[in-house]
Amino acid sequence: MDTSTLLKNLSNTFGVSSFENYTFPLIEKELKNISPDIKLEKVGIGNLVATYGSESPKIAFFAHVDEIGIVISKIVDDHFARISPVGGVDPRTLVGKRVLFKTNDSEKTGVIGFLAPHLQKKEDREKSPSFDELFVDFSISGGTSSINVGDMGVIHVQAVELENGKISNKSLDNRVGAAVLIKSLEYLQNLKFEGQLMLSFNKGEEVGLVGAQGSAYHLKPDFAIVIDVTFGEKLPENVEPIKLGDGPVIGIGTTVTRSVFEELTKTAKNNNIKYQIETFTRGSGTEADVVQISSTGVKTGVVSVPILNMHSPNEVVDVKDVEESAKLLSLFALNTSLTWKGRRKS
Amino acid sequence: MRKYLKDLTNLAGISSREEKIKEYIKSNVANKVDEITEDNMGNLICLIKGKDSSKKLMLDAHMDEVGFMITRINEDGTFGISPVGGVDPRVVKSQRLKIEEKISAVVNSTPIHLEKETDKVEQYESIRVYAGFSNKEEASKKVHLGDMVTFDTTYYEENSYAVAKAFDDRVGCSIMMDIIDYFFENSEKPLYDTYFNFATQEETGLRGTGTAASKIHPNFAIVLEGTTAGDNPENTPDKWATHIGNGPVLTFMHSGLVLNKEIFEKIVDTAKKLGIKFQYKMRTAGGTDAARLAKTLYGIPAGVISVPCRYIHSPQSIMNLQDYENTYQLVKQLVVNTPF
Repeated sequence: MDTSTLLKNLSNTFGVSSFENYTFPLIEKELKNISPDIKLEKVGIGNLVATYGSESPKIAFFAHVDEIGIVISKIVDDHFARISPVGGVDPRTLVGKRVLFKTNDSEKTGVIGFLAPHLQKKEDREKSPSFDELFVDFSISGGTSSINVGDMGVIHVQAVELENGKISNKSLDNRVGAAVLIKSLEYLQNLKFEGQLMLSFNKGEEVGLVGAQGSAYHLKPDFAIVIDVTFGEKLPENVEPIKLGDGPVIGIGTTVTRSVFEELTKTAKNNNIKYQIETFTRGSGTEADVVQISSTGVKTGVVSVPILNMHSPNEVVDVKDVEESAKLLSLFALNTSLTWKGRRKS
Repeated sequence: MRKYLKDLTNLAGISSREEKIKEYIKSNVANKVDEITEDNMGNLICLIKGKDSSKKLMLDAHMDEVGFMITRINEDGTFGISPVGGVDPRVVKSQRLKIEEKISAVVNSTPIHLEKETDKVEQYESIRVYAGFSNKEEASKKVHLGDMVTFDTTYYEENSYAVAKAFDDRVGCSIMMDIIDYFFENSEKPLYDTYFNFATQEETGLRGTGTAASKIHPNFAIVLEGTTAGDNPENTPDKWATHIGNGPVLTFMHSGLVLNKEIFEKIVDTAKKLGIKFQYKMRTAGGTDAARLAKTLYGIPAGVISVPCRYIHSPQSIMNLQDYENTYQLVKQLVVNTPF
């Protein structure tokens, strides 16, 4: 499947933290298409792990598949319900949006309504509503009678193509990462890789890095790379900006093992892959924060794909950046395996 | 009935850019009316001759919707927009937009990780629209100052409700088209010569309807609208303007005008005789083309009938389909054989 279609399909699926069961089947199918013999298993709290090849070194790529969302916290009356965020949701991004709630057997459409300007009081115009004030109107789908506290929802949008190879959708954080993992396997198949690659598609990152912990502990890889998204927009003035279209972003600093960073940058340089650098002075905000200190410690790197408007329904990614990141990862795996076996000169 | 509502709300047409809506209406009423004219303001006037030509009735619904215009092309290839009509900047945050109905764009939003103050209102001055262009030169090839920008929303209905953009006032346009169909399909005539005016530029200060009325010289008018509900959970029922599901909204007064009492009472009586559910508008905020008509020519008396809609002037407004049906029945009854 071409990268653009893969990204669109993955980000169109519903997969709020703890409810990733609509996204996993799509990933499984795509992995089987690429590599019919690949071993698939569920690990820990339900992370999907795909294992390719055998022997050592054991290299693991991690990406979370869950997305931020909203959850019903109170039923108000026949039409209206109150909500809370799942993960980091700016309440302002929800105003005037159509939302989709899923239970195991049904789907319900709702609208996060907003009072028309004609009826607003002047003093209320200076402030955006908080989660205490936002509500979902379920009149459109038969009211709240079949809605329960705890039901999970997302902003109901589908992928759209923008100019110049950009795609916008919800949940690109981190279906982009999932796409990078899938694509890296596709590229790796054509390389002489002699080791074991484990792709861990994790649950529950957005609510506190829940899934990766268990996978890292279970897999005990020799090397781990965490793939996530990062800010492709204006950052504080003391920080180097990162741009869409300028290639994969390699992390350096705390939570990254220096030798892995060096191997990643060397691989990029030797293969003419344009890359950017992101500095972590505390946590990285990615699964690397827990993977690196799992068990007796894991040599860990971070490769991120820049996106715009993170944690909004309008996240934007450049398809080229996804492909270049996947290339970098597959070549990293190849080189690491060759070095391990002493077959690489440098 | 309601054959056109979906198409009408999916089409884009901000004030002064109603041409697509007009083309759609024209192509669907062309062979069904006695006369079609357009005036200098772009109003589309369709006449069906009545049994009694001594009086002229003007039905009015506006074609334009609230939206935006490209008002700046930034060095980084993003765009600045300004509202056309009343759009609260808070409903613009993180929306999907269409530029001239063909270029997809998104409203940028600083990630919550980088901006912790989430009750701050992002004003138009700082709103940036992104369509994938990386610099001004590239953007300027495809997008120009003054280009129309609309919400990218698709009509959806389930059971007895519908959600879409622009119910204000494509719902009025849709009811007028349904009534034209009624006369055509039943080979019937209205009581009086009836001018269906699909008006332009209501949202920018009731600028369209006056020139159409000056051409028509109607004895009286009925303005059809999609109006505010305000029956949100933060409001107790005494603060509602209307309530969806309670039927057509009859207005005795709104911003800038107390409606003609005789027409108002005639509308109320007709609704009662039909035995349909109806309601009075309980707030006087917001205006309609009736205010312009009152100041046009000799002062044209008018009534206002609306379909109640939640969240108008946002990309997601909700309407009850039974309310639509009842509004249609009421307006039809007034046009078919209610003497004024």
